[in-house]
Parts: sequence; C-alpha cells; structure tokens
Amino acid sequence: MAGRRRGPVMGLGGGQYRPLTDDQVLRVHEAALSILARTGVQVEQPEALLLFQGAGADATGHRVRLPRSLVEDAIACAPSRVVLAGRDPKWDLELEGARVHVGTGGAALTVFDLETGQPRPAVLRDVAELARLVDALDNVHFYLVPVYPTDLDTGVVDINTYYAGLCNTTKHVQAGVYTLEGIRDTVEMCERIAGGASALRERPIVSFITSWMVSPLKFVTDVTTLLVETCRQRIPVVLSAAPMAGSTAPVTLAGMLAQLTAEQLSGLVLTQLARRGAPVLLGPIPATADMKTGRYLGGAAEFGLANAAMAQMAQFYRLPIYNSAGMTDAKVPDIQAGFEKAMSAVLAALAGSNFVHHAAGMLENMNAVAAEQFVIDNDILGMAMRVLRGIEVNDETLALDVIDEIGPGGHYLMAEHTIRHMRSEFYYPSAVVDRQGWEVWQQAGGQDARERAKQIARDILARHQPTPLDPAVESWIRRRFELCI
Amino acid sequence: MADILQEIASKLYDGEDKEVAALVQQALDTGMNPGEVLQGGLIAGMDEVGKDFKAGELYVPEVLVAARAMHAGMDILRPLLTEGDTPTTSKYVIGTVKGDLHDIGKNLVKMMLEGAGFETIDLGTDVLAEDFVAAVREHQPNLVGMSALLTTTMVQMKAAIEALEEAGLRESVKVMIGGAPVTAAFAEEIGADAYAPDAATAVDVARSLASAAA
Repeated sequence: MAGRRRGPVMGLGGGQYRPLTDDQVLRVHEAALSILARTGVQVEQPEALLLFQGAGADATGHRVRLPRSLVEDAIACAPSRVVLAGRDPKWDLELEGARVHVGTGGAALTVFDLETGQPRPAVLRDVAELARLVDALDNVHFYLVPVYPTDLDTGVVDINTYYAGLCNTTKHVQAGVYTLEGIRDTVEMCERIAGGASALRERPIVSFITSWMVSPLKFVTDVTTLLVETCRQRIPVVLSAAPMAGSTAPVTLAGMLAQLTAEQLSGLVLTQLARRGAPVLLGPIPATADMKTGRYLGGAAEFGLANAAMAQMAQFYRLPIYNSAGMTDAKVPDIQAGFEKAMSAVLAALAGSNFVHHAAGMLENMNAVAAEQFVIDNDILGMAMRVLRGIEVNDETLALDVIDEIGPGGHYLMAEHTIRHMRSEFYYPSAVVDRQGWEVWQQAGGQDARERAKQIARDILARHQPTPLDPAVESWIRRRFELCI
Repeated sequence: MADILQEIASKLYDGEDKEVAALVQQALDTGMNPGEVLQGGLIAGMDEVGKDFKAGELYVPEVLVAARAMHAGMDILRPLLTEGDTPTTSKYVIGTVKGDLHDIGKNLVKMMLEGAGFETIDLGTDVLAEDFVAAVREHQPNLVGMSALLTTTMVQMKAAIEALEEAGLRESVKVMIGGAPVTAAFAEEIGADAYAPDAATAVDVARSLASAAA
C-alpha cells in the first residue's frame, strides 16, 4: 500500500488572494516612483553614493533622488527567477511568479527552554538544535536561522551560525549577516561544501539577509556595505525592510505600501548597480504600530493583508519576494498565537509569496522561539499548503462511476476509489492535532496541543539525525575557521 | 509450504479477496490442513492488519477490505474446519435506534466486528425496541449494539434496554451503545454495559465483554 510520507510539497501556485486590483497595483507603483523622484532616499555609505551618482541619480548631499528610467532599468535586469538550493536537491526552492515556499524567520534573542519551559538567552547550540528539529518537519521548507547566538562575539557569528545550520539540516540555510569578514568566510566555507565557486553560484545552499533600510527611506550605512559585498559575491541577497504603518510609515496601508515599494526599488537599483543581474529577493515586511502603545504588531489582521499586497507588487515587477507570515503578538504558544499565525499563513500562501519566513517557531513577533511552536506551525503550514493545493477536478476525481456503483444509501468506505485517493486527497496532521473524542483524549492524558507538541519535539530531538557534511569537508572547515560548536 | 501461507497473509493485508480465495484453495489442493491455513494465513494476515491499524499506518477502508478478503478465504475453509480449528464466534445484533436513519457509523462498527471474527445480525436503521427484543430472542446473541446520531433519538436506547428487561432477556446479553452524541456517562445512566467512542474501540470493547461473559 502507498506509504503515507511523501516528498515535500513545495512551490505550489498562489495568487488566488489579491487584495489590490490591477489599477491599484499601478497606482502604488506610480506613487513609489514619485516618492523616489521627489523625496528620494538618504544614503551615507560612500560606495553606494558613488554608484548612484555614476548612474545619473540626483544626489544632493546624502539625499538621492532616482529617475524613473534608472528604476525601470533595475527592474528589467534583476532576475525573475532565483533558485535557493538545499544540500539535498529535494529541498531546492525555485522562487518565481506566485510559487510558494514557507519556513522559519529570525533572529530571536530568547528561547523557551523545552525542558524548563522558561525563557532564556539564545545560544549557538540552539541554532544547531533548531536546525535539526526543522530538518524533520516536512512543511517547513527552509531554515532561516531563527535565533541570534548571544554567547558569541559579533565577529564570529556569521561563520558559526551558517556552519551550525548547514551541519544540521539539508534544507536551504539563510541568515542575517553582520560583518564583511563573516560574509567572505561563509562564502568560502560554502564553496567547499558545494564543490567549488561555480557550483555554489549555480546552486547556492545559502543566502544572505541585509536589513539595509531603516524606514522611512534611510539606508543603513554598515549594512549597505554588506549588501554591496553580497551582490559582488553573486550569492542571493534579501532586501529586508520592515516599516510600521503609523510610526515609520504612513498610517494608511496604501501610503505604507507606496513608501515600502519605493524603499524596495531603491535597494534594487543599488544591487543592480553593484552588479548587473545580481540575484536579489525583494524583502518587504509591512506591519502596523499599535497606536495605543507604539509597539510593533506582527499578529494584526492588517499584517496578512499588507504582506499579500506586497506579494502582488513583486508579481507585478516579476521579481522574487521574501516576506512574512506566522508572527504573533502572543508571548507563549497559546490560542492567540494559533489564530494569528493561521490567519497570516493562509493569506501569505494564497497571495503567492515566494519565500514566506517567520512562518514557524516565532513568538512575541521576532523576540522569542519555542521548539514546540515549530512543531505546531508545521501543521498550520501543512494545512495552508493543502488549501493552496486546491481541488482537482477530472473524471477520476468526479467519481461518477463510483457514485453509480455505490448508489443511494450505500457507502464509500470500501471502494477502491477511496483507498486510491484517501492518503493524497486529505492533509493528515501530526499528533499535535487531536481528532479523537472526549473519552479517548482524556484516557490519553488529556493534554493540550502545546503539551503534545513538546512531546513531538522531544521525540524528534532524541532520534533525528540529519545527513552530515562530508567528513573531509567538515575537517577542512574545522581547521580553516574559528568554530565554537 | 510456508511460503503460500505468507502469501495468503500478504494478499489479505492488501485486501485482494479473489487472490486470497484462490490461494486458500491452492493451499488445500496441495494437501495443507485447513486449520493450518486459517492460523498461518488468514489469522496471521489479520493480526498484521490490526497491528498496523493501531499504529496509524493503515486506515479504516484498508481494514475493511482486508476483512472482506479474510471472509473470502473463510468461505472456502469453513465447511472443512473441525470444531477445534475455529475460535468460537460471538454473535452481535446491531442496529440504529428508532427515529434515526443514520447508518454509516453502525455499518462501520459492523464491518469492523466482522473483520474481527464476530458474526453480526444487522437490523438496519429506525429499529423499534420490540425489534431488538425479537432479534435477541431469535438469534440469542452475546452482544447487542445500538447506534444513534441524533440527540433526539438517543433516548430510544433507554427504551430498548427497558424492553429487553421487560422481556426477561436483559441478563442474556451485553448491551453496547455508540454514536456521536453518546458518552460513557450516558451509557451508565441508561444501564448499558459499555460504550465505545469509535469503531476500532468498539471491537476491543466487544471482545472484552464477550470474553468476560464466556
């Protein structure tokens, strides 16, 4: 009989949910071009400033205004398709159009300890253990390093986080980068793992996140340096920007979308000036500010709405997009976490976002992670992917012969047709989801979903062994770099 | 020789009823003893099915088609088996109570019971209390199972139990109830012997009631 476990379900087609009309997409686009020409962006990083000036941008002091032609040229020459590879090719992500992939996000400073249940500072060991956990969760398609190791000096964070991730999962590994040296070391290590410089460019097993923009409209000097470097390294890079409507963007969602689109396009121009054709992911993460406190809100209804709208903008530009779902303002894996996560995950999937991060493990927005939350979110994502898969309609699935054979008053439980389709037609969640009646549930201990998820996480961590790196490569890496794990 | 038994068990597991029947006949033709075919082929196969079903690897429809395959084999073996070969079968009268036409749950329990070797007498749906009484009198079953989906019809279970008492038959059978609104507490309240929350559990409960009564 057919086995229950199948390969990963990735790259399904989204785009069914379109909160903006085509006219509205055009208006946001025109508004963004107008912001870039009229207001411009603040750029202090000397190399970026020179690149903008050399390309004919109007740079007065540190204010750079971009003509429409420069922006349109960048949109045209950036690749529409970016492949982010896994060590195991079955986890290769082909980002283009409205193909959907979902995974973890970063970079939390706090981990809820699986045994004590108490929050504690994240350490490098967590980067490794969470990678191993995620490696076993089929609906999490990539490993964006979810925590920042607080036990390391900044100078060695990049090489160590990528190493700890790559050793413990065969999925694509992405992380924020912090130093030029770290980027170069990481590229050198990955070239060795991938089997050479060109092999790595062909199938990049890592990519970089640069949060180069502080909204509104201001380049971060240090990170801009890193952004230019990653483009020259020809490793895919994310233009991450996360404005809040009401504080770092206009309170109106349309105004935020226009500003955020302008920010994204300004970054895109720089990447293509640094290296034409550099593989880039747009990285808009629109959110809202709590007008009652000023705090960031990742679990608001507007979050899924605005992220879906940005997916439409990326599809309009034919550029791959990284954005966000699965954040929550809840502090622990509770009911609030569940419904906020489920809502944004389904919306992001239906919007056709290519690389949906933050979608597993996160709590209190980007502040904390919990092992059991990854396990819970794996099923939220599995259900979202099932929705995305839609309904197959053909002679076989319409089942007219079976309906006729069974006839009025019969049942379908023993039909060959039932057995043929029952495993693939429905999504079967893990034991996080309890589907028994009251008595059976009670006899099994009457645990809630969080407790069940903890047990699953413990089981995975006790037994799951990911495919290791080649031993020769591994020992070369250990000799070459200062590793702390 | 043992190979053919393994093949019977394996085809039974896959729900191939025609092949199981053919293989059983083939085993007999080569001179194998019917009791050996039963134990080493059919029962061994069903044990494997039961194990994988409990582990969540097989789903309900697969158990049902495996049970159908077992019956295809049994139909050939039964006339040839001597008394010592067959485990004593328990009889189970089953029906959906008066006013209720829902039968998928009842059918599921029935099929699972048959797969586990029970002999079932199905009274169908909308079964009157006196029909349960008449069936118990006629078939002298070990167990009676009643099903209801509606909160408005589950009270009919109580009526049927009372009718069995009035007829002096209540002590001769164990009564099990089930259905979406039914609970263990309700079973106790109306004087049923047991309740099962789903079809697979119903088989376990029926087995333990039958062996306790034996």
